[in-house]
Amino acid sequence: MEPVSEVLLKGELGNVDLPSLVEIAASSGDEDVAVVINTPQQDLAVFVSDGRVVHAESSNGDEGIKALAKALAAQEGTFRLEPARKAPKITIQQSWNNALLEALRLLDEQEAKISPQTTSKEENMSQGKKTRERIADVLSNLLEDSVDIIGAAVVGTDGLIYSADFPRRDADEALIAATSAAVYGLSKRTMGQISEGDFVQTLIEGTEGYMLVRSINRSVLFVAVLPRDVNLGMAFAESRTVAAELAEILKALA
Amino acid sequence: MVLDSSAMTEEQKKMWDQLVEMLLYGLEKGLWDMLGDASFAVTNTVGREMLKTLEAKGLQVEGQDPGELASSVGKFFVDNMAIADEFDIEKENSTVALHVHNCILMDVEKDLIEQGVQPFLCPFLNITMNALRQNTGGATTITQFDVNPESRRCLLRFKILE
Repeated sequence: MEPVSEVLLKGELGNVDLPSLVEIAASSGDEDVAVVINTPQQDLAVFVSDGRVVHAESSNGDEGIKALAKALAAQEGTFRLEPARKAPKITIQQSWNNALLEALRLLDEQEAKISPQTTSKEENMSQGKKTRERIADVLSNLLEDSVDIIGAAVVGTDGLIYSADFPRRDADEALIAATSAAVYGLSKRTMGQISEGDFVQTLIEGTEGYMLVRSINRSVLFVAVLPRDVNLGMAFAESRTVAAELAEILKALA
Repeated sequence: MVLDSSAMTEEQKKMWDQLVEMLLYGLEKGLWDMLGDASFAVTNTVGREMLKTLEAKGLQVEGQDPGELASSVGKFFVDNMAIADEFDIEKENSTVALHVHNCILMDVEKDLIEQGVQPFLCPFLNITMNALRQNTGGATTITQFDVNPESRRCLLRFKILE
């Protein structure tokens, strides 16, 4: 691994975990940051570019999710955050949350050795779920894992609520669905007027946070509530990933 | 709103009808120009308020059966308010369709369609949609809204999503 002179942060593993280091790297203001981990067994590097984890590698030759899983499992050794260190290649294209989940799943498989029968049963149960339940599961997982999205909903452009989970329990979900659809309608009309292509997403900034409305397909929207101190790059990337996942689920209704 | 139509002359009643039609046309055309398909998002919120008003006037939407809910709304509009001549219900699996004949708003709908606007403010549509969403758990969408000015028939088809 190539040496660098400047270090943003360094320390001992055990005091801090990989997700926290990635969060610090993503919000450091530097376009490219490498999280370098040295353990007694191997050296690892996780590359963060524009707020997203794009590559991971190990001195043992592992790359991508496999190397990320090893970095996640590392418990003793040292770490340092190296700025201006660009990823040599892109091996991780999914969102940080999804990459993290995949890496955890890989670790689980390696360590717990889940039996194929159990996996098959779980898959069948998942497939047997109704579309709205699957949507609710996706939103629930997103809110559980993300620090950038604190509330979310999937709504139709006709105001239909497929699923909603907002931090304010007294939120009028029907009204939020209707206004989200109106935001979409206005934004889409505006894009048409300025001839800059199709609608993708609208971000509304408030004094205490943000609301994001993103198109899933022609008739369904993903709505996200973001906190004031959000990493917008991460939130956009997560929204893009979850919208693609929801689009697949919604194909069942087409 | 309280309007004593009995005190109106025939000419005044006609003008009042024209005014209501003009307002409805202007509102739908204006919203459609701004929001396009997303104008349908107001169907639920408009329906919610209309349903509250009509429940105070005797409309009862109870139970969870989509056919019975749509039937309650249709019956109220035809029998109590006489805004259409008749209606039929067609129910199949997760869809329920409402056929309405000779609605008093047919001419406004016809003008809107001619202007490329898909009508979305319709008492049958707005209230049935809201009643279905309210009583069946929320997941109802409109899959068909055909207005046929020649036969003076409308078809509204709703789907309860799984």
